[in-house]
Amino acid sequence: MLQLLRVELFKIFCRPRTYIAFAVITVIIILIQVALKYGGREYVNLLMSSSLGETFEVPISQILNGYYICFLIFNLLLIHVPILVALVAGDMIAGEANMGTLRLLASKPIGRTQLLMVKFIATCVYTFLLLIWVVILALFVSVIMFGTDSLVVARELEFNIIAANDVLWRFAAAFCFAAVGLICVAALAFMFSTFADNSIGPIVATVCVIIVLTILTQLQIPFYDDTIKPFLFTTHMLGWKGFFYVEGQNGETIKGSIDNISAIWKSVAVLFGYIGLFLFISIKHFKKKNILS
Amino acid sequence: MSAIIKVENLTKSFSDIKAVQNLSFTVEQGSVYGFIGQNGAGKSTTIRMLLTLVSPDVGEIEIFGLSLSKNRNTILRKIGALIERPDLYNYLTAFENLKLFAALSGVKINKNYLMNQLQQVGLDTRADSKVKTFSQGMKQRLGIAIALVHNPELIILDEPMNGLDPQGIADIRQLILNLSRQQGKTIFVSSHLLSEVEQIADSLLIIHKGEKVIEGTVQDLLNPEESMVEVETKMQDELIKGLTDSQWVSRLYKREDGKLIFRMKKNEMPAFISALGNLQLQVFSVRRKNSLEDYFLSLTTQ
Amino acid sequence: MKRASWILFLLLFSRCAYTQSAEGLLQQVRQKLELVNDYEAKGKLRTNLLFIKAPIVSVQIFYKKPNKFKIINENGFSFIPKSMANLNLNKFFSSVGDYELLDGGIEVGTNLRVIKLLPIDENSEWVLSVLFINEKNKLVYKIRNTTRESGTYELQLTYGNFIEFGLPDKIAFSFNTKAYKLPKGMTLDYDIGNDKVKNSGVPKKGNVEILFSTYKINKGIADAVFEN
Repeated sequence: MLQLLRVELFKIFCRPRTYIAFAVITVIIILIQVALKYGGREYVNLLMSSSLGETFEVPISQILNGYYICFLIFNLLLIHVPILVALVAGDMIAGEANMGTLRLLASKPIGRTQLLMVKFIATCVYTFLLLIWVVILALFVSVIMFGTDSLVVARELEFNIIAANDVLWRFAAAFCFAAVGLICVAALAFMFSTFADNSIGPIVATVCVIIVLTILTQLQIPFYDDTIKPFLFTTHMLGWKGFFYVEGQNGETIKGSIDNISAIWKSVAVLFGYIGLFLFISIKHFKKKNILS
Repeated sequence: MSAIIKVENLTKSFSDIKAVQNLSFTVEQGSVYGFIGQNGAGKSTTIRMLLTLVSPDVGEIEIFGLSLSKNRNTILRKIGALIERPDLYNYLTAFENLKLFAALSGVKINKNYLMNQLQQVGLDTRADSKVKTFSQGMKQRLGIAIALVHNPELIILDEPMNGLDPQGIADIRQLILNLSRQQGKTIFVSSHLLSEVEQIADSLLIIHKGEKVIEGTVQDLLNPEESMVEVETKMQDELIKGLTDSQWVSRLYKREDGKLIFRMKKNEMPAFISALGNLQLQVFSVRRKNSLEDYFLSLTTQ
Repeated sequence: MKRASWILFLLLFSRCAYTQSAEGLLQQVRQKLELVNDYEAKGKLRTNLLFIKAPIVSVQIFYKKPNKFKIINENGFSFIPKSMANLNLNKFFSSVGDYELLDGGIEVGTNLRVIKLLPIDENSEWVLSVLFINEKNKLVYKIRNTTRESGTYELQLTYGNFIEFGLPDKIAFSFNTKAYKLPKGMTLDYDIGNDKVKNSGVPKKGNVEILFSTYKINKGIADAVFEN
């Protein structure tokens, strides 16, 4: 199993396409950081002034710190990283079918379920490394560029200010949660990949599903709020933000608190449920698939 | 000699297309078995079923005396295969490809061993070149090296001479003969060109439209005493009518547009030609077909 | 008739006595505050507002005559109401300008003397200030300010260790805020289903408190501290 995993990782990381995602993320994050370095005050002013600026002195330069930049990047990127994950996950089976190497793999003395699981674990490793790269650039580079201070999290109906010494563990937890969310996307792309003999199809299908479901998640139509949204994995993928929603009591926040931890656990359970479902369908289909490519 | 592959009543359909129908054959240990058929005849589907890439609708496959459906991994561990085109990881080098598939086959990786394998197919000097820079022939040779890397007992080669130049074809033929004669390997080799296989195969099976046409040893099938005689004439009915009372009408094997094919022994030919002459019909040519290629064409060309 | 005249006299006298006393009382309050030329205080700031959840932060507060005043966060930061910039009494008195003084009598329950200040300048942002003063120790315990832009806000002062300088141990600042709501498309919220109940986006009252722990009084403060 370990040997197989090593082979799969070797293939992933020898392929130029793998590094496209890393390069894209690097470019996007650096562009955001540079833009906020030179125009961040205007951005924060725009965000805060409309809501708080009339009543309060907004400490813009303090708000614009490394943690805030990281949170903003996470906010922007965690919608787009799934697309980059789909690039590799959607290619895992269909890409091999397209290249003609799937028949070589499937004729080796490795069970199809084992082959699929190894490929899925390799996809998870890739996803994890991609996320680590996001953290390195978004958190560490932002902290170097902008310093640290309390983190302001603007929500629809409230502002959360989290003390600087209460932030890092939240990023670590959000990172773990985001990993689960992205693995869910990877599992979806992976499932599509078992149905296709060309990687474009699964990648496009995954991206379309994410776009449609994200739109549904963001639509504010009461009918969808109660019927569809609670069941969409894109709704639960936003759960990483839950770690930045703090509990307040008598005019102070409770250090280390999370506003609604049970909601986060529920989201984790839903995401794992989807991962299980996607994997189950993948295995069931792939085990009986006639490899004709 | 024991049977290495035993296939019984193998049938596979894709939607309405019957790819393989009631196919049965046996491959003996240490033999080179030629599996011949035109493109689309069902060769690749059969090979894919032997390698568990496609599951049969009906039929049983036993390899090494074990049921393939129940002992998949045990069996596949002892099989090396080249399936159709040698599609490999183009972004990896020849050595990396070989190393990767060796690992998947459970071979302990040793650089010298792998280089030896590449040397056997003449690719040792290109070991570090990316496969995307290889010609079709080089890829084919690398595909064969991959099939052999784990020293399998049974080697399945699907169209191994595709894309090779004459020298490459000769080299592969020699390699197959060496593997069979010197190392005692069983080789199942498919081709759409009989001429490629007739020189190396011990036994042959000809498949056409998913069905077995004929199976036997090359010696039997190429028996010089038994030949096909092709008579080119536009007066087929008259000719058959003229021969009705003679022994020759029972030798009629096939009737084609403008041609009648008879099967007979070589020493019967003068009497047959004489009988044709006596009919005084318009006959353009009488030709003896004595190569397996002609035989194959006569069976499969409609 | 004699009895009625006596009552009228007493009423007029008392009214006159109050008016004089209010002006005088205010002067005495201001004189007490004049004792402080500058101070540097440390304290904890608590924001009590429905739509802001913030930790208690340590703050440093600097004052220098006549009206230099600054709050610096020692750790973290806080959203300080703009109107809170006048929370310092010294600064308040130096910036009110000319005013009319009205005596509001004694507040029932607290026994604090109520003095109302009305600005003479019609264009003044400040509309009305109501001071609640303890006549015994000459200290202001509450100010209710009404402004054109920021509405009405209230400052409550609690005295203790630094009472001799007229400096409070605690300031509680109450104010009205406008409705707060950001577009969901902008925040991409994780909908955990319990925040809508707490805050429906209507205007709310807010409260900011500073609990002072130390004061360094009249030790001198460089002007540079007040520069941004």
